[in-house]
Amino acid sequence: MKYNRLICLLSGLVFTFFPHTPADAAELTAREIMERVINRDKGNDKTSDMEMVLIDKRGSQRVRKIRGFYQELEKQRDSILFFLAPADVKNTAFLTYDHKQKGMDDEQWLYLPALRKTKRIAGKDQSGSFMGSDFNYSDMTEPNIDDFVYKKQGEPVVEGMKTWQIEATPKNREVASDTGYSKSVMFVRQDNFVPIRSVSWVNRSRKMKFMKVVKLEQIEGIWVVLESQMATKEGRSVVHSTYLRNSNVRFNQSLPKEVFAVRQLEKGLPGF
Amino acid sequence: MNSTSYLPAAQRLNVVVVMLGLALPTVFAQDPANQGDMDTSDLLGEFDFGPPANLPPSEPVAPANPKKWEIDGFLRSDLSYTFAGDAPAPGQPDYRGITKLRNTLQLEVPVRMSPKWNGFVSGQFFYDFAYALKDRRNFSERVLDLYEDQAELREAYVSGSPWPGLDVKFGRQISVWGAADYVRVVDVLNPLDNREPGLVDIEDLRLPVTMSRIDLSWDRWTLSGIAVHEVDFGRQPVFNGQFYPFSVAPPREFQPSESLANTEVAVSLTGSLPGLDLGLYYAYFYDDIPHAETVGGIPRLDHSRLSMTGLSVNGVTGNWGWKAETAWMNGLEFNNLPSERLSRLDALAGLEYSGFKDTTVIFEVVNRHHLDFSPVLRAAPDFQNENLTQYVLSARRTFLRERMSLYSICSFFGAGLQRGSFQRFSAEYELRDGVALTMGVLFFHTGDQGGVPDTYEDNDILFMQAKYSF
Repeated sequence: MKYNRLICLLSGLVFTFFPHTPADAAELTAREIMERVINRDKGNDKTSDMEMVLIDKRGSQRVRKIRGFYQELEKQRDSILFFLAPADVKNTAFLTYDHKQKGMDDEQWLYLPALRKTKRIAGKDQSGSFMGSDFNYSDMTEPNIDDFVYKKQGEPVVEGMKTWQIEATPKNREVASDTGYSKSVMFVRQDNFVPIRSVSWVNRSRKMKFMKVVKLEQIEGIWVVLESQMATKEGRSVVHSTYLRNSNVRFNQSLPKEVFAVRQLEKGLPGF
Repeated sequence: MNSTSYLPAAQRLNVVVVMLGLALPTVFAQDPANQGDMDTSDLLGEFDFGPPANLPPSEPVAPANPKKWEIDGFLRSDLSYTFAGDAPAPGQPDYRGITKLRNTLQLEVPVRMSPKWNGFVSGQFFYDFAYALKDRRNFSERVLDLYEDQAELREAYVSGSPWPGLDVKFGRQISVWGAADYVRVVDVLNPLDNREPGLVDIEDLRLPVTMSRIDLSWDRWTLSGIAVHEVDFGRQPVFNGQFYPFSVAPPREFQPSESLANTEVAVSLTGSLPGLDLGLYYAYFYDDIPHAETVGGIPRLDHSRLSMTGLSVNGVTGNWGWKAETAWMNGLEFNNLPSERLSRLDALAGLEYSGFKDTTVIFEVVNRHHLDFSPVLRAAPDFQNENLTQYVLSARRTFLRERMSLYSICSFFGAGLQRGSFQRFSAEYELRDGVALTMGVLFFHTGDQGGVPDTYEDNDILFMQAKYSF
């Protein structure tokens, strides 16, 4: 299993956003919209559980379960994830320090229970599948806004909600290679800056990925995607899809700083 | 066998085949392919898929009130088929054909005693039907004792965090030191299960021993103190077993008592710093590998008491990982220099690349340099060289959304590869959650005296494994 680039998992997959009321929304450029999407309130810290159902084209299903802890600091975002299922990866754990400072590489450690060993891992390439799902590691991270050129393509109505249709194109081949996508189009709700649909062109492939939000709720004033689905299509056919459910989402619990330490990987799931 | 650099043709072929197998999909994946082209105004029409009809009901990932204890573990069946052996001499056990037909059950019981204290107990049981299949009377009692069945307590400890930054752990446990993935330089605390070299599952390789451990953590640093109360040298092949390298039985092995004086002690300071991990280590311990000596005219195997002072450092840059370890060992004893205690300097360097899609390649090289080396150490039974070099190259690639993985590990001994090698290639397929099938092959290539033993040439093995984790 490849675990690298597993940053701020739920901040990527739960899509937590400001409950925004954009008075000047109509005047925003595509880049300004994406800045508001990215620079959102995530609370000081957060815990949540994630369940992924991986479905192949024959309908065969595999299930992955994770409990995650997150904290937002001035200079970095920390996340620590504990894999709970399936049984053969249980107790595997992953710690990330996502540095906000430009030019400073993120740091990641993986604890492998079979080896009783913690390993610092490289993670520049985010194009790989996260735990065999249709989500790439790059889907889990907050993108560097300067890596893309944004273009507003319209304001379609999606499921009764007015959205902006934003195209994001990597500025160079390296970004496309590292994220795994040559282009993306997002449909961002105008009332709360939540992308509720996205389409991504898989780099150097005929495949495309389609993400749609199935269940969106406000928890403690913060918008949270509780259920979403990502389908990989080749032509008109779905070749694989992932159904993602988030639960137990809680914000601002004053998590102890020791939780986000390498030692915690070996100690296992915190007892509180 | 000369000592110049060589790599037998079969080995070269093995390495090339496995590297091509892992690299070709990457090459083809990077062929310029026609990008999916679609009018973005029609994109919303493509969201014509919905949740699957048979989506399992949502269950709590981690219940709000977790159980006090639970049972985890695995059930595993292993089959080994030795295909390279010659017919044995009359009266000797036959290790051709099916040499392992083992069913293993491991039970693990994590116990949540309080928010700050936990316990853990695991036990492993196996029975190998291969010996009954081949007629048990052909095997010695020692072979049957070690390989036919086992019921043992593995880890059994209590751990807790009485104060923030302070962790304690008492009982049978495993403590891993250093940054290397395959070669042990500073990782000296737990003995190994070497009964079947190259075949032991990674999760079974390190044997837990009784320790008391205390960790003090602050910022990015951890200071650890460890006392190892249980004197255990691991498990080695026994005389008349498939992997025993000599034609004569070894002398009796001296076993130190488990007393305060024989307690192994260890201290480490590790830091997970921005950009790199750093570790400083000291241990006063028993060498797991015995040396022959004569006491009162009677030969015996004994274990040296060693001190090790070590350093490890590793970091990542882009898609590259790098690591280095060094250790100064003092107190090594050898049969051919009975009155001296020698020192050795071990140094390891390693690289890891994860830039190919779904692929990780690891290379490690270690050199163990005897200080004050004497040529008499080259003779039997020590078979030492002034420098002992080992290379390890491994590659793993996953396919089918991590449902299948190909894995290879090749280990070469001797600076010029003249001391032999082994190569292991395997494929694992996940049938369903927690159920995996593995198939593979293990090749041995013998080398100079003191390297991979000649008897291992007969031990090329096909293996299969089915594992259910629960």
